[in-house]
Parts: sequence; C-alpha cells; structure tokens
Amino acid sequence: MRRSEIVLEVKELQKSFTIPGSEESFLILDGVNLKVANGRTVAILGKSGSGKSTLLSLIAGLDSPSSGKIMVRNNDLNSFDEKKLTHFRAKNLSMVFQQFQLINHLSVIDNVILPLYLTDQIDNLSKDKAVKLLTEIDLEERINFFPRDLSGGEKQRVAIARSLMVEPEVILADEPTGNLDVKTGAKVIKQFFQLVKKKNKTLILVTHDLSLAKKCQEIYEIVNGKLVKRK
Amino acid sequence: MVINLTISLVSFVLINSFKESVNTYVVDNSKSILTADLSIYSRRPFSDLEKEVIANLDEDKRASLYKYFSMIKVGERTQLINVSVFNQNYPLYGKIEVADFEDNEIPFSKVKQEMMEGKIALISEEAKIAFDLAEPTEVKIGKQNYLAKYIVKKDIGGTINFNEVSKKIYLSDEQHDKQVFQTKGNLVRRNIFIKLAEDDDLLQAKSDLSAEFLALEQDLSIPSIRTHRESRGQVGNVLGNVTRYLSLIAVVALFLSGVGTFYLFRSYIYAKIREIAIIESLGMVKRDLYIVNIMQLLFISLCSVLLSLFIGVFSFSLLPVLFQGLLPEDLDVFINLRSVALIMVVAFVGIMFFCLPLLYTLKHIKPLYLINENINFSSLRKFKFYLNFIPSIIAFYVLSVYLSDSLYLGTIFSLSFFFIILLIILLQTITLYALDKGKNYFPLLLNLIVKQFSHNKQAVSFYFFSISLSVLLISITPQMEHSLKQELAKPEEIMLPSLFLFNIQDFEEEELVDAIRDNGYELENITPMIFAQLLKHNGVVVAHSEEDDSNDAPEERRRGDALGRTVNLSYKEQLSVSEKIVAGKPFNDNYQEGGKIEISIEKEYASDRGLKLGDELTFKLINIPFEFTGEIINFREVKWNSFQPNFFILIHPEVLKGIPKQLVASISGVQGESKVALQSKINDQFANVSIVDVEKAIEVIFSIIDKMELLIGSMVLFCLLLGFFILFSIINYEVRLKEKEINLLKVMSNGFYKVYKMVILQYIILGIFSISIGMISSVIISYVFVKFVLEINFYFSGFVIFYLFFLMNLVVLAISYLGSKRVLLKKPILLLKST
Repeated sequence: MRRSEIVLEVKELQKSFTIPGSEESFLILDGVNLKVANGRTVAILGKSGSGKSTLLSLIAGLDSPSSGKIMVRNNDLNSFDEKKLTHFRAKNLSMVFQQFQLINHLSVIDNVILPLYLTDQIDNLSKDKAVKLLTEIDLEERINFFPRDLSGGEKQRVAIARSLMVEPEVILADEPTGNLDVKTGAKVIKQFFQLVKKKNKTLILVTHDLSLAKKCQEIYEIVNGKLVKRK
Repeated sequence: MVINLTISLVSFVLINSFKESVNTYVVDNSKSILTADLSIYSRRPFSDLEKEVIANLDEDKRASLYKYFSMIKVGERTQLINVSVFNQNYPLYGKIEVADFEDNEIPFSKVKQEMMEGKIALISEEAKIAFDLAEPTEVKIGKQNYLAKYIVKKDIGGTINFNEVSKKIYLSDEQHDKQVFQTKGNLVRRNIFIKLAEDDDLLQAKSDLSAEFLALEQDLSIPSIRTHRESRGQVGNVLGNVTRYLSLIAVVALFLSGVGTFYLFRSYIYAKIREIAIIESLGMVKRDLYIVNIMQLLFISLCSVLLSLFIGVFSFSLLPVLFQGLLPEDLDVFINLRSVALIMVVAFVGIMFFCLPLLYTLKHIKPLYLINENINFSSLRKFKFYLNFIPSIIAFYVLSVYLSDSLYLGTIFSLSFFFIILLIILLQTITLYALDKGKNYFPLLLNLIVKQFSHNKQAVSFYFFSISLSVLLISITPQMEHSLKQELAKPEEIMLPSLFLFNIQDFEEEELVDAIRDNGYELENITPMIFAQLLKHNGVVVAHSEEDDSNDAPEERRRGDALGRTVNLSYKEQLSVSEKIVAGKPFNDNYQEGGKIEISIEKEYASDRGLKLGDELTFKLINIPFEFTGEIINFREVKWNSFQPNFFILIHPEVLKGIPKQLVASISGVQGESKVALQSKINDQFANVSIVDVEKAIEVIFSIIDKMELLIGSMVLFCLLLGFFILFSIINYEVRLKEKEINLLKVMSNGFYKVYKMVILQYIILGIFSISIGMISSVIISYVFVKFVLEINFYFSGFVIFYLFFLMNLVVLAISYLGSKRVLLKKPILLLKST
C-alpha cells in the first residue's frame, strides 16, 4: 500500500444519545469529517465528555452512528451485518484500551496469540511471531506470566503486542497511558510509536494529554461535537 | 454450579435407580409374583357356569388362592388376620420359604403335604411376633382349630409389609372350613391361577379365556383375567406409588437446583462481561460465543452427572434404611443405562432450559463495554425475555408427568407447584414493598440495609425464593402429618368406637346384641350391607369387570375403574353423626312400594364416577334375583375417620328391608383388658364375626404415616440442602461483589464490628423474612390440602412452626457467617491491593 493512500475516511458523522428518563436527545458528534492516510499517526484531543471515545468506538465499529459514514479501505462499516463487521474489525482494526483489557486467566503469550486464534489465522509460526513481538517490546522474560503478575506498564505493552498480531490497517488507542504513571507512560508510548512506525501502521490515538498528542503527526480536537485540526 | 446440580441429581439417581430396580425386579419375577402365567380374579363367588369353564382347564396346571379377613384366637387373645387358603398346586411358579420355630428351613412341598393332611397352619413372621409365639401353638380361625407350626420366611407375592396388614395365616383348602366362603359373600378375594404350556401364547390364552367368560352371557360382572406381565403385585404397586411421590420431590429439587444454576450462571456471566467483550473485540462472533457458553454448560452438567452417579452408587446403602420393611430382601438396587440416560437428559435439558434466558443476555454484551463500561440490560425486563422461561416450565411439566407415570397427578402437581411459586413471589413482593415504604421510620442501620435490598433486587429475590421454597417443603410434611394424626386420633365432635365389627350374619343380630349387652356394652350403629352389582347408569350398561390391582397411578385407577364393580349397598333409618347431606334432599318419609326408589351417594364417590343428582342407577343384587332402578336424590359428606359403619351408596330403607344381608356395627367405651376379653368372648360365640380394634388400626395408620414422612422427609432434605447451598453461593458472591464497598466502610468506621454487623444483619433480616414467608406459605398450602383434599380439619402446630423457624434461622445465620467471612475478615489493606 502506498504511503499516501487513504486508509480511513469519516464523512459527516453524527452521533446522538437519548438522555435516560426523557425523550430528549443529545448530539455529541455533529458532522465529523476525517481522512487518514496510510502509516500516519493521528491524535484526537478533547475534554472529558467531549465525545472523543465515542468517535473512537464508532471508528472501531463498536457502535453505530446516527448518520454519516466510516470507510476503512473503502469499506463502509455501516454496510456490514454484525458477523461481517466482527470479522472485518478483527482483521483490520485493533484496539489498545486505557484499562489494558487482558484476559486474566491466559498467560502473556496466549493473550497475544488469541486474536490469531479467533480470526482463524493461527499456524505453526504464530507462537514465534508472538515471541518476536514481545521481545521487540522487552517482554521476552514475561511470556509465561499471567496479567496479575505484571505491572501496569507491562500489561499495556502486552496489549500493544496483541494489537499488532493480526497486522491491522489501523490501530485505535483509547487513552493508552491513562492508567500509568508519567515515567512508565512515556516508556510505553515510546515503544508503541517505534513499533507502529516500524510496521508502517496507521494509529489513531485518543487522549486529553497534549504532550502525548504532540507525538503524533496530525492532531485534531473535538470542539462542540466537531473535529477541528490543530496547527 | 457442579455441586449445586449434583445435589439435585443425586436425589434423582437414587429415586430413579430405585424405581428402575423395582421395575426390573417385578418384570424378572413377574411369574413368581403372580405365581402363575394367568390369573382369574373375582370378589364374588364363581357361578356354576364359570366353575365349568375353570374345571375345563388342565387340573395339574391350575391352582387356587382365596383370601379374606377373619379373627384369629391364640390363647385368650383375638386379633384380625389375613387368611390365605391355597390348594395342592399352589404356587405354580416361585417359591415360599418356610422354617419351623427353631428356624430350620423346611421344604414347602413337605409342609404343604402336611397341611393337606392335617390341620396345620403357616403364619407370617409378623403374626408370630404379634402373638409372641415361641413354639408351635394352637390357633382358632372361625370354628376350626389349627396348629400354627411353621413360619413363612419369604413369600415373593406378598413382600410388602405394612405391619398389621401383613399378619397372615396360610391354610390348605383341604382342611379349611368351606362354609366360610358361603357366609363371607364377596369379602373373599378369589384367585384361580393358571400355568400355560411353554409354547402357549400368553395373550392368546388370555383372550380365549376372556371370550369363554363373555360367551356365558350372565348378568354378572366378568372375572378379571390378568397375565403375569400385567401384574406388578404388591411390590410393584406399593413401591410404584411411593416412588411416584418421591420422584416429584426430586423434580422440585431439580427445579430448585435450576434456580441455583440460573443464579450462579448469571453471576458467572456478569463476572465475565469484560472478558466476553474483549474476545468479541478481538473477533469472536456471537454464534461462537453461544457455542462456547453452551459447551461450558454441557461440561458442567456432564461433571454433575458423573459426580451424582458416583455419590448415588455409594448412597444405595441408605435405601434399605429409608424403605425399611418395604423392600424385598433380594432386591438389588443398581443403575442401568436407562437411568444414566435419563439423568443425563435431565441434567443437559434442565441446565440448558434454565440458562436459556441467560444466553439471551449474551446478545447484549458488546465490545463497546470496554470503552464506556455500560451495558443496556433494560430489554431483560421485557416480555420477550420472560418468554425464554417457557421451555423450562414445559420441561418441568413433562418431567412431572413422566416421573409420576400419570398425566393427572403430574398436571395437578405442576399446577400446585406453580401456584406455590406465585404465592411465594407475591408474599416476597409485598414484604419488600412494605420494607421499602417503611424504611424512613427505621433506625439508620436498618434504613441502610433496606436500601441495599432495593438496590439489589435480583439477588434478594433469589435469596428469598430459594430459602422460602426449601423451608416450605421442609415444614409442609410435619404440619400435614400433625393434622392427619390429630384428626385420626380425635375426630371433631365424634366419639371413636372401640371396636368395629363386620361379617355379622343378619340371623345372629339379636343374639349378638344380647351377648354384648350381657358384657355391659351396647352394639351400636348396626348397619346392613348388601352385595350388588351396578348394571346401568342412566340406562347405559356399564363395563362389567372385576378388576383387582392396576398398574395405573391410584388417582387414575380411581377414575378409570369407577363403574362396573361389585358394590356394597346399605340403608339407614337415620344418618349417623359422622355424615351429612351436602346436596339434594333427604329420603322421602312416605315411600310407597312401586314408587321412585331414592339413592344417596357419598360426594367423593359420586365425583370420581361422574354421577349427578337425578341420575338413574340400576343395581342387581348378588345371589338374590332382585334388580331395581333408582334415582340419586342427594350427596352425603362422610367422616370416614369416625370408624363408624358408613357406606358409599345408601338406598331408601323401605326398598331393601327383608332382603338377606350382612351387618356391620360398632361398640364404644371398651378399654384395655376388657377389650381383649370382649373380643375373645365374641369370637368364641360368633366365630364368623370379624373385629377391628380401632385403636390398633389407628396405630397402624400412624406407623404408615411415620414411614411415609421419613421417606418424604429424606427427599425433602435434598431440597433443603440445595436451598442452603444456593444461599451460601448468593452470600458468597454478593459479598465478593461488594468487596470495595465493604473495604470503604471498614476504613470509614471506627471498628470492623459495625461492618460485620451491617453485612450479617442484612442476611439475617432476609433470612427471617424468607423463612417466615416459607412458613406462612406452608401453613396456607397445608391448610388448603388438609381442608380441601384430605377433607379433614386443619390443626395448627405451633411447636412445629416454632421449632423449624428457630432451627432454620440458626442455619441461615451460620451460612451467612460462613459465606461472608472470607471477605469480612480480610484487612482493608489487602482489599486495596486486590483492587
């Protein structure tokens, strides 16, 4: 894929919520447009409750928009049924969460291999691939550990390794350092960006931390439901 | 979940294996149980034409056994006994094991020969014990003396022992007084047994014989003909009925375990929401998610089945204790493939159906949860969600019908059970509503606790339901037993007679009255009894069959054999205090010969047989050429526990006066030794008169009630155990769920004691209310059952209620402590680390 090719395109995206107990609806995203080229790193900034996580969940296909389109490699996510969307998401869109979201009863290596198993891509080389990824992120000593035995930073690095296993088009990260201290967060982000660059992946990162956002090539901010590019 | 399901399945394994073992035993020993290939049975004497048909059968392959009740006199003691009179060829199959008083086994053929040649009698072990016999002793039956020389050790056809009923004496027809059969009318049960040649077709032989009796074209009921396969014997019938009821309790245990499994699986799913969302976000589709969860449930049920089979096999040794005196000695309890298959189906289907609504919740778990940690379960309160419970309700009903072997019993049971559930839910809702409304008037601690209940409605409902239902089950049997015993021992407004007399010939009435008066007592309630056959109902000929035992459930048998049997008619100038007219009008005082004949019917008898006021019934008297048609003009309610002479069918007194009859009567106010002496005197003078000692009869019934209570109580224990297990699981889970909250309270409070008190107190309050609801429901259900099904007075047992209430609360307190102690005793610092 050429570097300048558009991987993700968001067109006139709207999302509204009904306030529980009333019939009033609240528009959280109001005509969001976004184009992301292959291999770019994009940060989305916003205050708490501004809709940045909502936007991320819509891009990830975890939620459906009230109107507008989300195209990933020219595939309209809205056109898929739930089963197809799950398959598409699993192969093309990976997520890194603020709360790490590892499976507690699986070891580090199993957590990393799991996406390949679930997308029927597992083969004899899968384990080597996982070990290699974990080594690249300095976790080769921890491959047989369980999440409960890891520090927060280590857990997030496992989550990063897991997100790269299926070689997705886009990695979506939701406040990846939100649960880490500054020093650990910086170390994790450094390794994350190095891997993304090395593997030529597109990264969309949602954060309220401007210093983290500045590590990305493009920065957007959600203001009053609209996405505004910051210079 | 495995333990929860296993507890209920163990009860299933036990009951079902026992049932299967009894069935196998009965099938394997069917010829020995019937002692023949075919039997011809009649309660009335065989007619001359029938005797001809019987005489045409091969004499060597024909045996007879006549049974009736009579008085036996041993020394000065007189008691009622079951007399069996057999001929030379009896038994055609099977064997009777006999021993002498030194316990030496004697071949039955030798004993039989001795009995044919001399007045020797065989007695059952129970009769030996009842008369305290240590050596061969002279006994008197009717006017004849016999030497009770041998004891029956094993008689396969009559293995079931309900104490008094099993006091038996065996006589040979060669030495037996033939006159007895003439005077006892249809109180004699007559069996002719037939052995077929090996190549004879059993069903063809039965059908040929039936055709021969039908061809006689007599105005008499046709003797019943039964093959050995159709005859389950006493073993099959009594145990069959017992296991039917026990199986239904096992269904309740399964239901309770289903509720427990539902709760535990729900907790499991709720605990795994995050994990499910993760694997969904990584690519698992819903279909695979359902498959994984179904596989997990199947695995749990498979583990439970294996564990319950293992425990069940080791528990088989308990069965002889529970069924003491009811089991044939050589009955081996085993698990067959059929039982294993049934238990697997019950476990798989049960768990799937109960957890089906939960699989529905999986639909609502989406990867979005990983970002906003919010799941919309509001649809779970919608009607569509509750539809998911329908398969489990249907499965419960089907299982009830299957295990009770009766559509009628299964339906009644299921309806009653669902009524009980609704009652518990209603009482529970009212209680929680009242607590919620009144919380502002409570002290702060109670107020906080009640707020917890409102916040955590589902868990509270499970807690309530499991405790209330198991408490209800455990308290319902002692309450019913209490009313039953009270009513039997002391029926309201009625003085129980001391002795009940039957088989009195009408010609000896005056003499008997005088004899009893000479002893200082009065013969009371002298009531005639006339044997007849119901020919027509509203002009339609009814089926004529002398059916004896049946394989159906008793309720269905009662309905099925409603009409067409030989019946006992009676008449009274005045109704006794133990009966009253509940519908229709009393007999007309001015009866005129040739006018309308009036009939009075006992209301339950009428209801079972579909008889209505104004219906016409045609009777033919047995042995007397008299036929008449009458109209039902009233229904009576009879207190049968009064032990006074009462009859289902009463005819206007003017109709049957002067017709030869037998009499039944009673004597009151005879106590202790006087009773023994009076019985002895009556027996000396009137050998044909049979006497029931009412006090002893009640003792027998009490012992049967106790035995049934022990059996039912044992099964109910499984339910109780399940209830407590679910309680433990709920407390354990809920406390863990509130670990953070409890930790916070500990940090904020000036002592851990307050936190313990708050947590334990909420479970104690819930316990008190749920136990009370279980108790109240059980009183309501017992009252309804006792009053409207048993139709006796309800006697409230404060002791039973108080004792169970106290005991249950102690257990709940202990479980609350055990279930919550792991979290409660943790130091806050550890809790902080774990979060």
